[in-house]
Order: sequence, then C-alpha cells, then structure tokens
Amino acid sequence: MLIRDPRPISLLTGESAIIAISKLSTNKIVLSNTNEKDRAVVCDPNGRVVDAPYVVWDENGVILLHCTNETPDYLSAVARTLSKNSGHVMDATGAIERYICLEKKLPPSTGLSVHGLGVSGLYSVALNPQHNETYQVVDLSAELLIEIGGLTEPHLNGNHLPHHIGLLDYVRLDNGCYPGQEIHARMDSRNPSSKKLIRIDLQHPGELKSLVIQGHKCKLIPGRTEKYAHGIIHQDLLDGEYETDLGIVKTITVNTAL
Amino acid sequence: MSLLGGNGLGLPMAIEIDVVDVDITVTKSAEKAILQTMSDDNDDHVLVISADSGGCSGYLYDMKIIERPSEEGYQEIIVSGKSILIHNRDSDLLNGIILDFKDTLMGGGFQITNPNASKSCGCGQSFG
Repeated sequence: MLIRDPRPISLLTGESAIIAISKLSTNKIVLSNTNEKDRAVVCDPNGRVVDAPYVVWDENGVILLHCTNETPDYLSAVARTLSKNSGHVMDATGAIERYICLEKKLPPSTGLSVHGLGVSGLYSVALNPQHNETYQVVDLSAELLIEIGGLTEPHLNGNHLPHHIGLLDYVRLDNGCYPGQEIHARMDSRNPSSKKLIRIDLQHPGELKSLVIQGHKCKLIPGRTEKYAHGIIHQDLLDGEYETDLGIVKTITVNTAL
Repeated sequence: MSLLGGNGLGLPMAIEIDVVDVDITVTKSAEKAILQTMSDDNDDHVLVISADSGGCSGYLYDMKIIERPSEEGYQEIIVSGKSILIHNRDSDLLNGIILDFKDTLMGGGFQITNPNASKSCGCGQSFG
C-alpha cells in the first residue's frame, strides 16, 4: 500500500538556500550531491517545533518536505533572504509525488527514499516512485498519520520540544544560534530530556483524558483514532503491553517521527 | 537526475517588503573602527550590513566587507569617506539602527541597536 502524502513541498533556489535553512534549523544541513537528503527541525524561540522538513538537494535547488498542513510562515523570512541573491521560495507540491510506504514494500523509485521513519522505523518516504496497479494507493489522513507515527498539527505549532516528539537526533548544538537554541542548550547542560514519543495502541474506544502506564504519567497529544493515540512518556518505559485503567494498552516508541 | 520535471511548480512566494530610505547612526567609536578595519582595503570595497533569516530571534545581522556589488538595489551611506551599503530588501528592518563599537575582550566588536526589533538575543547578533 502506498500512502499519498499531500503535505506541502517547497523548493528553495539560489546560492544561499542551504545556508538559509541551516540558520533556522537545530542542525547544520550538509548536502552536496543531487538527491542527498537531511532533515531540518525548525523551532520557535521557546524551543518548540513548528516544522521538521526533510531536505533534499536537487539540481533545481533545495526541496523541503514539510510536516505542516499549510506552507509554514518561516518561509517568508527565508524568501526575503534568498531574494537578495536572486533566489526564491516556490511551491513544489504539484511538481513532486510524495508517498509513505512500508519499508518492506517499497516500489522502485525514480526519485529518492528516506528510510527508517515512524513507528519503530517501519516506514519510508518515497518521492516520485514508479507505482502501478500492484500498489493500492490511499490518501494520508490525520488518523493514518497517527497510526504510522507521523507529526500532526498538535505535535507542531510550538506545542512540543523536539526531544519529546522523536526528533532528538536532529538537535545538535554545533550550528550556532537558531530559534530555541538557548532552551535546548540549557536542557543539554542542566536538564537532559528523559521523555520520548510513543504510539499507544488502544483496545477500548472512548474518552481518553489521562493515562498512567507503569507508574509513568503519559502526556497525551490531542487527536486520536479509535485504535491509536500518541503520548509523551518517560524514556524508561519499554515497548510492550501494559495493564492500565483503560484496560490493556500496547506502546511502541516512535523513533523518528515521520 | 532532477526530481522536478519542470511542471507543477508554483510561482515564487510573494513577500511584501516596504522599501524605505535608510537612515542609520554610526557612533564615533564605530566610525573609528570602520576606518581602522577598512584602512588596507581598496576604494571599491564597501561595508555591507544585512539581516538574514536565522539566529535565535528570527533574523541575524551580518556585516561584511566586499567589493562593491555590481547589482542594483542597495542604499549607500557614506561615513568618513567609507561606503556602507544596505539592501533595499533589508531597509525596513535596518532603518534607524545605531551602529556602535565596544572595545572589550568579552562581547566586544560592532554592536547594533535596532528600534525595529521587538526582541533580541543576549549576544546581540539576532533580533525579531
């Protein structure tokens, strides 16, 4: 099955495109060859995530695969910077086909793929894959995004630290100043994060207001399906099945939020 | 091979920028530091002050001495015979700044006070 991902895609053109996105990201983006990829995490001044786009180097410029539903606001600042050197920010959503697929069932790709994402690293992003009737194609919905361990609007919009939503690997403090860097630096030296994102497999539909698993309080992220929810919990909790007030729930760590 | 087939690309993001006549204040100490720093440079070298996206508050100041750019779109301010250029695209962000120079071992160098900034970072290099 291929999941058609309609989230926005941008193309940054101009010599300083990579520098411009690096200066906003928690990590330094290093790309030098066509189809190389990396990931940027853009935060607000409070260190909370507003977007975590995959960044792909293309002959035409730098492609950003956004996690937001709409084109993010920070691109206007990037556009201003790029425009001084004849660069632009363009909407490439209609120019690139973007799909999510199970790693084991990846179709031949004419573009490129990003692997090991989502729930237990089970998913991939494929750009411009060669697909035919052998693959069932469905549209990505907020429910499906929760199931596969993706970032939904409640994960973004400045609600959560990258450490807590499966993006810790992208927080590096060797990139100089970026929005939220002071918060992250203080956490790194004084109060290292001890939480992680999990997908909770629920057996009982109904209201889900609070959840305690093995003595650890789980901070629930708004938005759930009948079967799945996302929560932030202490990193010591191992993946497994647990008896709770809501009955038995199964938890799986979201290693790299998709 | 490019991922983009050339079709389906949207138009460049429209950004509305007010181009204003830039007026900046350069303190005596900054003027002295500019003259000292640029003393070995040719006459065609200029000091460009710009504001790029980045830094911890959204925009990051940048100052560089380069050969006079050939492209148009810069406003020029002359300080003691030396040219300071500010791009029209930055004019609304940098109009009214005070350029100062502090000769201290820690946190010294050029300092910018910006009346357009609603927030700035501790090191003074970023504003928003």
